[in-house]
Amino acid sequence: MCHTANGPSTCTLDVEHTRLGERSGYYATPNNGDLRWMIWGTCYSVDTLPGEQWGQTLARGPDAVMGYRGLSADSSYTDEVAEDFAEEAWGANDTIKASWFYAVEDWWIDDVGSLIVPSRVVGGTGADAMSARDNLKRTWARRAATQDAAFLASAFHSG
Amino acid sequence: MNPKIPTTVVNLFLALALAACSAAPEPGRTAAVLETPAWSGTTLQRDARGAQAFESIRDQQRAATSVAPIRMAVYALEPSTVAALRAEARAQHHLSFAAFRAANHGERRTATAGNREFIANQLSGAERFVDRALFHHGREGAELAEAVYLDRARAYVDQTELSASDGRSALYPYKFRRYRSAVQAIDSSGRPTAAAVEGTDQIAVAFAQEIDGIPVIGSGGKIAVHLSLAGDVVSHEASIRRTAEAVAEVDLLGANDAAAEAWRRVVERGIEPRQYVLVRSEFGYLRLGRSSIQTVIAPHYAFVFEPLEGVVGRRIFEVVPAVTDTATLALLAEDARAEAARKAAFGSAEEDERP
Repeated sequence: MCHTANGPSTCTLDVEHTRLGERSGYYATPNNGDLRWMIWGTCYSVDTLPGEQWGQTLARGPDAVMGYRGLSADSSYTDEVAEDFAEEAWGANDTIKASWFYAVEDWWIDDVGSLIVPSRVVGGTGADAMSARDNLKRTWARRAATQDAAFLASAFHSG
Repeated sequence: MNPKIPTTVVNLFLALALAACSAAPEPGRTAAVLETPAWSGTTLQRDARGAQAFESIRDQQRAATSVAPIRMAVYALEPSTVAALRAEARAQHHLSFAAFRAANHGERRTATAGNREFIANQLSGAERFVDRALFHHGREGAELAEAVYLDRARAYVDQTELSASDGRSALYPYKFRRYRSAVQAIDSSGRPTAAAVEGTDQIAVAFAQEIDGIPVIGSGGKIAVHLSLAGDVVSHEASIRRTAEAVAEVDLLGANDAAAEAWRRVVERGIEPRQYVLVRSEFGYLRLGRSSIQTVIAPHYAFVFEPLEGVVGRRIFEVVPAVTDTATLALLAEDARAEAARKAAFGSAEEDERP
């Protein structure tokens, strides 16, 4: 996503007043914000500094961003990641985090899945963000318009 | 000596076993008569076995231009429904599951016990155990030594009889993963105000299968055991199938010819070859992943390409059958058709009844 092996490319989006998934206020005028979860099936999409990468997007609005750390594969062996994620998050009602890590797990292809989730309590703590990251399910109510994040919690795997 | 295993295959096994620095078999003893549970090596191999097998094959082919080509067996896999039934029986015996029921329109059989679930895939023969209250619910904390996790995962594989146990297969330690989590504060505009604080909250150990001393490459032929930081198993997933009878003995395609075919496919994707570099070459028996249909297992070459620095692109995997005879290629094509039909059916499945 606008990123090459040696750093950010030229198509970076860095607009202070851009928001995704906004529900009220003037941001919501052009798009009233049904967006809750994003899966970026491409390289560097939730990369090594996910807070810097997604902080402004997640400060208000969306519930989670899932993607890959580093280079990911274009392969028929990983073309069912989205299906596997849906089966776990929707079919088995498992958490968004567990579903994403299960879906991307292919030990031979070795893609590194990652995700980032905002805290959901106004004035919340790091523990609130971590709880949201580890327990968020598709059945949870979406964030209220007033639930601005104070912390971000992320996860990935090494090795 | 097993009459189904030709001398050339035995020689190949010996060469690869030596190349992999594992203990040489006793004289007159072949991989085909190893008793189970069979473990091959105690240290993490990652993808080195496949790379060593590739180099060994390429070197033998270079040295054997004036003699008969290298030949290898192609095996039928035990039917996936039998593998799933076997998984079900082990789940009942070792993990105390009962009352399996059909799910996903008969594609799977599942059993639940509280937060614990066991799933046996009827199409692929793969299996998964998961404790949904514990899987990726761990808290960051102190880790045990890596060797402790390896030992516990291996003991679990033995206790639950997860190895293929077909007399030809062995397992070796493959990869080790730490699941890392982090938290950081942001200001009102979403900018981080401090560096993220990281920790480990779950561990996973993977084992890989080899057949006749040849590594199984691809997404399948793996067992992954997920452990809590305390070393308790919270999930496993296995895509190991027993081999059945040899259905063919085939001449191997040359490694250089296979590499040329892989590059041809890269170009066919519309990629400028000068922008990509070959980073990995492997040889082994190919197994597909957790959901895939596969009835035979045959030797393949695998090639991994990555974009050069400054080039926007993804990692590319190309897999080329190391088989030259048309009858075996037809068997592989039949599997490929069945697998393509399975994937195509996903989008047209009957209306979802899930809540």
